[in-house]
Order: sequence, then C-alpha cells, then structure tokens
Amino acid sequence: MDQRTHERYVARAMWSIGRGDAKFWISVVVLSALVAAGFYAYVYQVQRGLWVTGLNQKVSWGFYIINCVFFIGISYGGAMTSAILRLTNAKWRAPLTRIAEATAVAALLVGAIYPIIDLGRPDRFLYTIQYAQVGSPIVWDLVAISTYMMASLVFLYLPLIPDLATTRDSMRPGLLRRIYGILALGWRGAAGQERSLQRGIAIMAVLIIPLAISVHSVLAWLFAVTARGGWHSTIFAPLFVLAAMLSGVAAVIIVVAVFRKVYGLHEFITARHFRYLSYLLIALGMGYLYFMVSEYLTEGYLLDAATTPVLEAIFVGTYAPAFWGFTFLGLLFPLVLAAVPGRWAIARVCAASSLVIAGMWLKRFLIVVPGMAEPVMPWDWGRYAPTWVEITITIGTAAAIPLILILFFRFFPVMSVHEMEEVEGASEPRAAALMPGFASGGDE
Amino acid sequence: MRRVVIALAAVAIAATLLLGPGRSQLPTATRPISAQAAPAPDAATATHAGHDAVSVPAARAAIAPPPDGARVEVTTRAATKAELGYIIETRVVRPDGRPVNDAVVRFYDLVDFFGPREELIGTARTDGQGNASLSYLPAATGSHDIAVRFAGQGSLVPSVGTATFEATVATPPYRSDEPALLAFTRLVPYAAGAIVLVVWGLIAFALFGTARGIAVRAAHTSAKEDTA
Repeated sequence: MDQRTHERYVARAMWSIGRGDAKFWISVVVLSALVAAGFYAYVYQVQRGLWVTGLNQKVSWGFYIINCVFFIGISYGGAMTSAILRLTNAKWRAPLTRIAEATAVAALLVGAIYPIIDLGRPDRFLYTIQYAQVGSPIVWDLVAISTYMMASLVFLYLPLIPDLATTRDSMRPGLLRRIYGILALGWRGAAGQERSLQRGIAIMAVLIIPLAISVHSVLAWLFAVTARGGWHSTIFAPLFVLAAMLSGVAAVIIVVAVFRKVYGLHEFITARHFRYLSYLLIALGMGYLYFMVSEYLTEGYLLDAATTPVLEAIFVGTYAPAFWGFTFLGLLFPLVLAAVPGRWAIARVCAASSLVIAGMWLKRFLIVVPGMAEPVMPWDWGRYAPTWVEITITIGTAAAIPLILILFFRFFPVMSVHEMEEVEGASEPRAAALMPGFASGGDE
Repeated sequence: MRRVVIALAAVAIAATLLLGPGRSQLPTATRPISAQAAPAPDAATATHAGHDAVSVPAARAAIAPPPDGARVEVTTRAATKAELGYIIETRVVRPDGRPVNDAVVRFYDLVDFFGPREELIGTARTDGQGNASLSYLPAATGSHDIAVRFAGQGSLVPSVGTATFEATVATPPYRSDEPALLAFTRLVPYAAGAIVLVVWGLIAFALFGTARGIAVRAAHTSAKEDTA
C-alpha cells in the first residue's frame, strides 16, 4: 500500500479524535441530559422503593428485565457479527468491525446494569456474591455476563492496538501521546508482533461466539426453568440467541449508517456493506420466524392449562395488538423491505432495521409480561403498566449507548486502519450480488 | 346477582332456625375439650405406655351423657403393629344402654396450634353394637387428649367422650425423596465452574499473551535500532 492511501485511511479513521464541533457538543449535551434524567429517576426509585414503578407482586419483571434481555441481545449481535466476519475472513468487514465491537461493549454496559436496577436496593446485589448458590440461575447469569463483558472488552482492545500506535504516532508529545503509547504496548508493526496479535484476536473471535451464546442461553433459562405458561419451553434458549443476533445485527446496521453519515465514511462503508448486512438480517429474521412458529405451534397444539391463558392473551386478548404488530410490522414487513430490490437501498435497510429493533423489544415485552400477568391459578390475574420512572430510566439508558459510542470514537479511531490496510487489494470472494437493488449500487 | 344473594341468605337463616344449635347434625365445632359442656366426673382417662404396654388393657372411658343424650365411651390401645400407631375405639349407647348404630362419630386430637384447638383426625360410623374405631398415628409423641364427638341422632342430642393416652411412637418426620439424577446434577455446577475457569484462562492468555508478545518484540526492535 502506498503512503498516500495509508494517510487517507488514517485521516478518515481518526477524523473524530479530539474533534469537538457544534454537532458533537449538541449530541453530547442532549444525550447527557437524557442519561441524567434516567439517573434522576433511578435515584428517585432508590429513595422511595420499587413501589414507584409499575412492578407488583404478580408482575415483578417488567421494563427492567425486558431491557436487560434486549440490550444484552444487541451486544451479542454486535460481537457475533464481528467475530463471524473475522473467522470467515470476510474482506468487507474491515470498516465495520470496530463499530460493531464498540456497539457490543456499549450495549452490554447498559444491559448489565439492569438486574441491579431491578433489584430496587442496589446494596443487595452483593448478596448474589456473598450468599451465592451454585444451583441458582441468577448466580450463573452473573458469571456469564461478567465473563462475556471481559471477553468483549478484550475483543475490542486487541484489534485496537495497531490503531492506538498509529494514533500515538500522529500525536504531538504530551500526556495523551504517552497514554496512547502505553495502550499500544510498543506496537511497531513487526512480523512477530503481528503474529502475536493475530493469535490473540483469533482466540477471542473463537471464544466470543460460545460466550455470547451462553450468556443469552442463561438469560433464556431464567425464564425456561420456571413452570410458567409461555416460559417453560425447551426452545427458549435458541430462540433468545436468534432474537439477540437479529436485533444486534439491526442495531449494527443503524449505528454503522449513523457514523457513516456523521463521520463522512461513504468512501469506505458503501452500499455493498449494507447489502451484506441485510443478507444477514434477512437470514436471521427468517430463522427467527421459523423458531417462533415452531414454538407457538407446539404449545398451541397441546394447549395445556398453564399455557392456554398466555396464548389466548397474546393471540386474541390484551396483548394481541402488540403481538400482531410485532409479527407484521416488526418482522415480516422489515424483511420484505430489506429484500425487495429497488432504490434507496440503504435507507430501506435502515428503516427495516429500526422496525426490527422496535419489534424485538416488543417481543421481549410479550415474553416477559404476559408470562407473569396471566394466571397460574384461575384467580391469579396480574396487571402491569410502567410508570414514568421506568420509562425515564429506559430512555436514559438507551441514550447512554450512543453517548458512550460518541465519546469512545472521540478518543479512538472509528475504523480499523490496520485491518483496512491488511485487506487492501485482496480479492472479494463474496461479490455475488443476490439483490438487484444493491447490485446496481442503489446507494441512498 | 343481588336476588341470588338474598335467596341464599334467606335459606341460610331458615336452616339455622329449623335445625337450631341443639339439633344440628354437624359436630359441635372446634371448641377445645376443656370448654365442652360438662364431661362426666368419671370421664375415663385411658392411658398406657404405648407399644411396650400393648398387653395392658386400656381403661374404658365412660361419660355421663346429658339427660336425653347418648353416652360416648372412648378407649385407646396400641395397635399390634408399631407403625400403625394406636387404635381409638368408641362405643355409643343410649341412656337406656342400647347401642346406637349407624351413628357418625368424629375423632379429634387436642393440639396447641396458635392456641388450644381440636384437630379432626378421622370420622367413622358405628356398627350394630354401637362400636366404631380409628387407627391413629400421631404426629408427635407425648400425651394426647382425644375427643370423640357424636353429632346426635333422632331424639339423641350431641355428646362427647374423651380419653388421654401417652404416645411413644409417632409419624416419622417428613423427608422428601431424593431428587432424580442427584449424583449427576451435583456435578453440573462444578463442571460449569471448570468451564468458566478455562474461559477466563483463555481470555487472560489472549490478552496477556498478546501484550507480552508485542511488548517483547517492541523491546527487541528498539534494541536492534539502538545497535544500528
């Protein structure tokens, strides 16, 4: 690669480092305000107790557990996307992996705090360690999430090392340069260093897939090991994993599109990248549809006493609008929108991804709430309506993800220059255009 | 709905007036034995020392009945098999000594559960000789006060007989069955823990191994540059 191309990559990847224009500060202030509002609502809840929420004795899992599953799912999708693309050596991954990995970490940081929020009294979180029972799914949930978080951080850090060195070299002498130098571990691009780095990344790419699967499986088992209608299902773990991948890939598409637009990465992230990501989205969506039909068909055919009220409530009862809204607007329509050829391909994929994300949140609601609200005994009905506290905390934590990403990319390159140079000039083995809309380069 | 409630209330009031407290076919409630109307001064107390004293004939309880009531005699003895506990036998006879057959008798044990109260332990029907019996294995050893209540029949008003016995055998404490696959499931957390440790080891190796590999080669390259 010539020096000019290298400089072009470096200039674009590091465009945001240290830069603070008006748009940046407005975004930071607005997002920080939302996060602060969420924090205020949380303090309000801690001071007064969980009665300020819509949670009650019957429906004790609401927005908080829904959000926990949802955000950890998004994290999972980001990590899996990056890991799978690395392991399959997909050349087009280079400009995307950093954004996907950072999204995974940001979403995980947000998702992991929800069990603590749901506790009501955060000091009791220590009890899960102090009085840990090896037979408790909660303990294993804690172990799985903490392990996955460590793995995600390492998986983000290792590919960052060469870019940290590049950033170090582009800095004037000072404190920041020294910090980048320490983080870069003395990277000079030597062959031996490259071998060590590739070995570490390969280990993490292999490890992160079963880890992410285990995290979401443990989350699913929290539901599935109970004898509740609508929850006690053997298919729950794979269903959760697939749902996580689907929402995660959709989130990656949205985040990539936003950073492409705001950071001016059109030259590096093209319609081709969105085309490949949309293939992933469609495949996962079809897979999820299959799993969902399989679950409801087997449960609906048997119609045992515990499941019947839940299915009635979902299909024709209180939650029917949410369920059919999710099925058609959150799953089927987005898949069609992403698959149909035509103009505005990137915009359509982004719209489809937004609908999928909203739909998958709704699906988590349909798993958590009806399963608790519908009666196990005939008189055992429950109701759940979130209060402003839960809604504000949800908005605040959702705003924390873009805030973390914006701040992260203010200090670290948004694209992996090292990987882009690595794949520069390599032939593209997966160039077959399956969809005419993208094949014609229908950009925006 | 309101009409149904009113109709039910009317039926309940009518039933109460017709049957009356003295005519009720139901057992006279759950008042403790000590609060019952006048057990006879010679109320029998059948005591024995459990299965070690099976051969000892139990004393026969005899209660002086109300003037127009039946007499309920209660005796207890240890069952021939220890695991069966005790046999509580009762005999219901009219004031003139004739047996009362086909009479429902209810057996109660006086327990202290948030205060003294009678716990129903069984129901039986008297035979042609006015006899009925119940096999009873108490939940705890020690002294047990037994009351046998006759709810009344025809012109006979309700009456009660009591007895006390010393139980030396009792129901063994409840122990749940050992869960299936326990030997296997006990190992699962340890296996999962081992996997977690391996995963943390791999993460540490990936991080520190890479860091070490990069840092060592960086030092090596620096040394070569310095030499050059």
